[in-house]
Amino acid sequence: MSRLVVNDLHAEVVGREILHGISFAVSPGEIHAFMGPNGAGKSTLAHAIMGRPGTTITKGTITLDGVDLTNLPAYARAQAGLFLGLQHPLEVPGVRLLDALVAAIAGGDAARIDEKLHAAAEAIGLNPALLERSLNVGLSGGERKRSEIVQLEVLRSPVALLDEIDSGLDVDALSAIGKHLSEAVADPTWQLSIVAITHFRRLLDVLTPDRIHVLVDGRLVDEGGPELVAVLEADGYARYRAPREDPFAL
Amino acid sequence: MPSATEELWRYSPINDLVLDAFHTVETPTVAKKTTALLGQLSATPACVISLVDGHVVSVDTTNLPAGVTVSTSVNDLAPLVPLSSAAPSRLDAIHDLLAPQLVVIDIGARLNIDGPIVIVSELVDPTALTTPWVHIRLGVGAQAEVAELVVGGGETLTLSTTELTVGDGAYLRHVAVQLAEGAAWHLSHQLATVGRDATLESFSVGLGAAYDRVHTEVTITASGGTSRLRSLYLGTDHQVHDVRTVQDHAAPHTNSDLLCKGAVADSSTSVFTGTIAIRNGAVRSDAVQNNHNLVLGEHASAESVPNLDIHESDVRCAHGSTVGPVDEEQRYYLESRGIAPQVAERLLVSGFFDDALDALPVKSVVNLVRSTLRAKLSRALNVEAASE
Repeated sequence: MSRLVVNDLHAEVVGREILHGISFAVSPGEIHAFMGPNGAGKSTLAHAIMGRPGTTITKGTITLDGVDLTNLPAYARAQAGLFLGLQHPLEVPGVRLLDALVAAIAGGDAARIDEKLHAAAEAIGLNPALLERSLNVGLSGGERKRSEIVQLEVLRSPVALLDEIDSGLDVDALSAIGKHLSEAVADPTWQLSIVAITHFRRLLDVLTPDRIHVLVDGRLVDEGGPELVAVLEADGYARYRAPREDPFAL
Repeated sequence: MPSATEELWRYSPINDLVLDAFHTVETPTVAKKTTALLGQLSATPACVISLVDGHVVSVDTTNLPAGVTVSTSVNDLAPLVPLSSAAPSRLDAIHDLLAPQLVVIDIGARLNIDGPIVIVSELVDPTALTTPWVHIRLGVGAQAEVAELVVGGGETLTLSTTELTVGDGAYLRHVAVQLAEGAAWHLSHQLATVGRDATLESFSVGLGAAYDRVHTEVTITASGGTSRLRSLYLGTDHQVHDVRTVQDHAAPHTNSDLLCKGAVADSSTSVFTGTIAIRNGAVRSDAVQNNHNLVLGEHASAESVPNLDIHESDVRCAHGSTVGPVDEEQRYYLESRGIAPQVAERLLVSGFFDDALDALPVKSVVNLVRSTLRAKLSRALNVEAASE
């Protein structure tokens, strides 16, 4: 149950500023969707909040329940309550999911974590046989996304940053995950907050957002309720873009 | 004396070796660590041969079937033709001259030995020059597991020779685990021949010694022969791990596959020099060589030197090598779950080794190797045991 506040966030990658002052706040149990065209800075926003090395915050703050995370490394932000579901969860050969979770939960008991892991896998529809493998090794795109949600369920982080969690999922898997996340949001003992980064409406059909933020060229250019999704789908993002100079103009 | 200017000793600290600093041991004392080490094996050995400072002090053949002979007489040197090295060094000559005895294990045709044959070499005298010499012969169609373990140490110098003769259709699973302590110099020369339709799986683990050298030469002498070599090392402090291999295809339709994985931390260094030789006539041979190195400290370094000596065109040869730090993306992924950087690094390096450990051909040493490796890795990365 934590309130995430991002204030005037500027971030750069390899010396180039990608985010030019992003501000928003997410209260416990809220779902905020961030939509925008390719290259708008959506993934950079997720990584800047999580603390990816190489994504440098040059200005602004990130706080969780008033605790300043801005200068903390990624693992400390995770311990403070953030979770990042990656767009492309990568293979980690030789590291089993259970071992990673045991290492992630301080003082955690391996047998109890294993129990939770199996329960979560069953609830989310991830074949328990895959839990014995190294992290994501040999898993399909859809199985990897399910595994991310299984990990979130075991860690019970208060705030989940989900980067394109819908990509690679078929309709059934998407609705199962949407239902599961909606329950976590509504669960009074968890009150999960979600920052969902997505291209497409289909995630938001199964996971009803409280707020939609439109991110274009590294700036939040519009904000609204769930009704904004239909507008974006009909009109696209062109109207938010600064008019470009015509390179062929005389 | 050998010199680091010779190709055979490139990147090695051999120039620092002063033979006069060591003395040969005439009468060995009592083993101190051997019993505890044997207790860490997860299967009852078929046979235990115990050496102290290069001398055989006991041979327990209780569980060996008839048809296996173990001989430790110096007289056995005479009828045995030692396997020849393509690159013998002055130190090999010193070894052969000083070796007090030869351990010969003969496994008769078609015998299948249950449980590993274990040879423990313990270094007790703190400044000893020891020269163990083991020759293992598998008859036609025989199958056996052999584990060579090295413990103890100090300011010692070990020049050890292991010869493996794998007869036609035979299958030998061999591991050599080197856990010498302190400033020990440990130089091991392994020579093997693999016969028709025979298989040698040999795995070397280098965790101990200040200078750890394993020079392995496998010659596949008849068609259908297969050599599968694995080596693994973890360097800390100022350790040097030096793995030199030759996959020698002397006959058509022969197969070899080598995977060497190492990590260097602190100020340690490693060198892998791997040769694939395909001789005239060895057509349709298939050879693979891979060397992967993790560099875990800014003062650590790893060299990887592949050599191809191919005399036929109708062959398949592949080699690859990597040298670099732990993958940044993988580390970030683990850190995004709340795992501290040192713990993430330990998980990733353990994972890097676990892939190789799964292929240990003698399963009864897996726990010993895994626990020793993990403990060493945790020390190297300053991770408390409590966070395991």
